[in-house]
Amino acid sequence: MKSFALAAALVLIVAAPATAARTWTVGPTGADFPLISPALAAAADGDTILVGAGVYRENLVLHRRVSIVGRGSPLLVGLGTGSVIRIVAPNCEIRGLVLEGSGTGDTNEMDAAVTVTSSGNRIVDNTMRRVFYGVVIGAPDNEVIGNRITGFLDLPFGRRGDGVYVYRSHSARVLRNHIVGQRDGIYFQYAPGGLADGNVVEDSRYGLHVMFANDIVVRGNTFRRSSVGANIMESRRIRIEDNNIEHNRGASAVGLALKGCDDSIVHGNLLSDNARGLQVDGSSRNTFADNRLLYNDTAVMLFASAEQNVFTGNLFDANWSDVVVSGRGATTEWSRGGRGNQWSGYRGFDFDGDGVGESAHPLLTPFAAIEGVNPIARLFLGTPASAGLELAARAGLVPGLGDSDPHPVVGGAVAARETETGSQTGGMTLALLTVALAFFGVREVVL
Amino acid sequence: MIHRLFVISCLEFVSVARLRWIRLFAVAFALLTLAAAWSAGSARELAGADSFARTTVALMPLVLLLVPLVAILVGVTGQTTEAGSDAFLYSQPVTRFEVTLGRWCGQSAALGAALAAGLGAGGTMVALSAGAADVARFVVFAVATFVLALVFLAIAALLGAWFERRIAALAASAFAWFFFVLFFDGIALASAVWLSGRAGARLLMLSVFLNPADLVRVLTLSFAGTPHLLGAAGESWQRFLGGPGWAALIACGALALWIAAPLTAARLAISRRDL
Repeated sequence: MKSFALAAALVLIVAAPATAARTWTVGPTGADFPLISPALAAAADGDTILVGAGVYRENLVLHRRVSIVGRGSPLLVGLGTGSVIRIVAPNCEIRGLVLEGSGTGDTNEMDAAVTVTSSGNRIVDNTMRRVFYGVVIGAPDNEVIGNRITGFLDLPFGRRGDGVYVYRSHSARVLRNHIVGQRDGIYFQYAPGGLADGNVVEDSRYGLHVMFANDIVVRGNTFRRSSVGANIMESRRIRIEDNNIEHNRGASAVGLALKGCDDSIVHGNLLSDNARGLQVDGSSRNTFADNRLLYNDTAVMLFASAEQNVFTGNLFDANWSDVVVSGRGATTEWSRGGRGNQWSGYRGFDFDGDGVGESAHPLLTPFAAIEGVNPIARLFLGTPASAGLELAARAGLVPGLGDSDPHPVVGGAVAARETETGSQTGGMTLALLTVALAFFGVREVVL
Repeated sequence: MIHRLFVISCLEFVSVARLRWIRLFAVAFALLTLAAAWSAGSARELAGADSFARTTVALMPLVLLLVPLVAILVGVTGQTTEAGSDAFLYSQPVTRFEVTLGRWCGQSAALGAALAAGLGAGGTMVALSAGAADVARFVVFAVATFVLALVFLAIAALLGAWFERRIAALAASAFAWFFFVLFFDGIALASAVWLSGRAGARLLMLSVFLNPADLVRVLTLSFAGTPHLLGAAGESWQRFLGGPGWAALIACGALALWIAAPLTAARLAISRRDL
């Protein structure tokens, strides 16, 4: 009897694919169902539910492997408690919906537009408006692609959720989403092997947050106007490549912050117009190569706890301070294989024309050194006295300021020469004007 | 008294406005604004978002160097005219201090006009080419610059009243400029190295009030520069004074004191002087 039941079950499983996957329609008129929940109840594994334009007020739970596809941006408004859509079955797809009305986290739950607790699902091209969390992922191998997620813009960050939150789940793929006004735009926590590619995160607390998650790849994203563009903590072997990290401002704002992050590669990023471009704290054996650090108040802030990091081929231009080291003893290499970085403040020459300057570039300006000792000294930023101090240092009158780049790159080896020529022309004009003014002024006063 | 002050200020305004280098000064400031906008990269890849904020920050060091110099020279040369011409003015039915104060008013108006023309023209050109984002910051900066000119004109009035010989007043003004613009900050930075810790931080934050040029610079950077350029230092300075509002108020009050105190001292000095 037992073996008969087993055989019957086997027949059912084999026969199942034979029944063709059905497509159910949901819509206000002329459809199979007026709401999505009954369609879900009717659907079998592999079915597709087509949702027409309209407004639907319900929360959904996906217990079977289905695809829900919106046509004409149907608006699904949740009941205001819990998640609007909960995916329990693996290999589901949610596509083309407009989602609103998640819970607000009042019950200490991670209320989201979409909560995923199974693997192999795809959340594609949806719009999530005024939601607590956007997508919460609690299982491996899920994809979140091309969604537009907006948080509670009017609430303080403490009462907002994250855009895409990946928790205890490896290999999540978060691609080409546009996330605005969340607490953390994209958050990988205990979620190794994730990929964030081509996303744009704006006006959030952290654009990207990585916590206890190794082997994350962050490529081609834009993180702007947040407290921290990308905050990588307690993780190893992270690859951060070709991202734009810009306009992150505020008293303690940072473009890219590494804390307790080891053996990682930061390559080809643009860090521009941040309060601090890059901050490295308690992080070791990382490589920072071919990044452009422009227009930052402080381009690189190194804490003494950061050891054995390498900087090569980076461009430092138009920053108020290029490098500030807090404390002593940071063991950082400023060139690798005879190739250092390009510094707009470099005053040496490349006599033999090999693209590398003949004299080393001292990293810490005397002003930055003083600031390292007494942070309040920054009140005297941009005074003629600080400029004079730098002149004295260049003439060799101020000794021993610590690290230097032994092989500073000169000339067009790194991009953005044009900007530099622009600022040089500007500087020359300023100098000429000052001289002319002084000449005429003195002549009239004296004569 | 108001009428007599007005007549003397008009007289002084005209004689300052007649100086060719004051007009050059206005033109120079227009060009400086443009050059600063250019060198700050506001006309380039970061155009739009904060064009005037960057221009303001780039322009500031140069303005803080030049405006005190111009103000103190205009002030001292105007307050101490050649021998003989003063005698005529003092023989008129005006008090000595009315002459000093009237001249200060006239010089202030003339420098204000030059600054407004220069920065206004430059600012308009930047606004036309790079957009008028953050123009309020630039206006705050221009006003702060004008207040700085008022302070140094007041110091010049004191020097002019104090020294009997014109050349001595000019020398003293050169020293005053050197002290406030270069020397003071050097001392402050040097003391920052020796006095770290809480007491050192307090001293540095207070030392800003001892120098009007520093006051204007910190005030401008705090409230009109790119936000948070002064970082934690600026933040703790504001907190030390009881928040951003109080910081602005106290700093403005200190600047007013920096104008009133030298003028009061000038009044004492001129009244005791043997003409």
